Amino acid sequence: MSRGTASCPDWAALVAARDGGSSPAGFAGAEAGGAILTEVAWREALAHLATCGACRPAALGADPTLLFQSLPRIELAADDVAAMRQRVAAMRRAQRVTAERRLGHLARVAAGVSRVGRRGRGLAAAVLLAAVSGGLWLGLPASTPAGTAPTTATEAVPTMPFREPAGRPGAILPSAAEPVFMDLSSPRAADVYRVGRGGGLQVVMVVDETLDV
Amino acid sequence: MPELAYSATRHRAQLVEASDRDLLLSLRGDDEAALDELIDRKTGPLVQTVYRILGDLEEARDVVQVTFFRIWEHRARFDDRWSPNTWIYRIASNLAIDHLRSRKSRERGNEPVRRHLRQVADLSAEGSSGPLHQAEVLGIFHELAGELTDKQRAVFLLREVEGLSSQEVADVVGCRESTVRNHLFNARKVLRRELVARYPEYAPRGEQAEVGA
Repeated sequence: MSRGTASCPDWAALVAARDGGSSPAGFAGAEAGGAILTEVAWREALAHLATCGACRPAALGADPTLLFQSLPRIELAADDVAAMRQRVAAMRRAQRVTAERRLGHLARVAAGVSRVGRRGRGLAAAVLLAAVSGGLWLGLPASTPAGTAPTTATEAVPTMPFREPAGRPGAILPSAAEPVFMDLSSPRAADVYRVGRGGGLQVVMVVDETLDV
Repeated sequence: MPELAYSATRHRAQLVEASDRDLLLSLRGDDEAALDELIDRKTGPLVQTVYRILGDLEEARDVVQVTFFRIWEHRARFDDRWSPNTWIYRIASNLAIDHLRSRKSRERGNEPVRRHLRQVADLSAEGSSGPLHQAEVLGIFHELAGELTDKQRAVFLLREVEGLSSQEVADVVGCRESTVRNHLFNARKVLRRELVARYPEYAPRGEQAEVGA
């Protein structure tokens, strides 16, 4: 028999109290070594077991499954966590692309069918309606929300068609097309500044070191 | 003067201070930075738990990746009355159990041995602390845990190794507390029996530590 220290618990009594417990925590209201066994006391005993070699034979003799209290830990590097972020972002992008392609394909099918006349147009409308309903049922987004946050800072920069006005070389003005508003609420590393107020034109400046132009 | 309308750095700093609950609530507002912060916090503990369930580090990473994706997909379903950790671990453990079931149906006779060798390699590569003995203990656990049902395995790990309370385990696994105690009782019984039969050197019988007078 191995000798322990005075602080070593009576493992046979502890395990018997744990296994005989009828309380919600699974611990006995009965005595274990002269005291009521609580979950806190059990955890303290386990913490003691982790550092006391003398306790090990007695503890394993009482309950061999205590061996698995010492399952090793996996320590992840910072790179692993960064890689996980990228993997999750890639999954989300892939899902968006798949959903957009599916709806685009169905829209093209519907448009093709409509060329055969009124009957075809009716059929195309029915197909499109069924596709959208089916997509909703499958949990696909019915549409891409206008305010969807971009996944990279480069996507946060709105692209607008520009043309040079006649007679004023060097001057750049936006075209007559309505500029696209993009939600800049969560670019990766950007600061967003609002420049000037007034008129109907909102001008913002995005400062992002990761942008490569 | 340009007016600073949004600072990603400031927003990120706020998220670092936010609680897990606040992060999950931020996800409901499509805050991708909140998802990144959640990934930074939870990747390590989740990979740890899922790895112990599955016994394969690469598979654990895959399952954890899908876990975060599911959290994002179902972000609107999080109820702020729930424990955030319980919700997250429930998604992860369900995915791990599903993965375990699908793997069992594909497994051939040599697979457990090859997985054990991969585990030892995983632990060496990750710089896991502790002697090779710990890797051996992990291999023994995964071998014997093959005799458990998936729920018994998950309950044993979450309760005995991860230290969750019986109620928390019940919430994660999705059953009553009394069912958790039944699973735990049966898991210990099976593991004890198999440990004594296959690895008697780890299961000394009848030895008692003599507490010093």
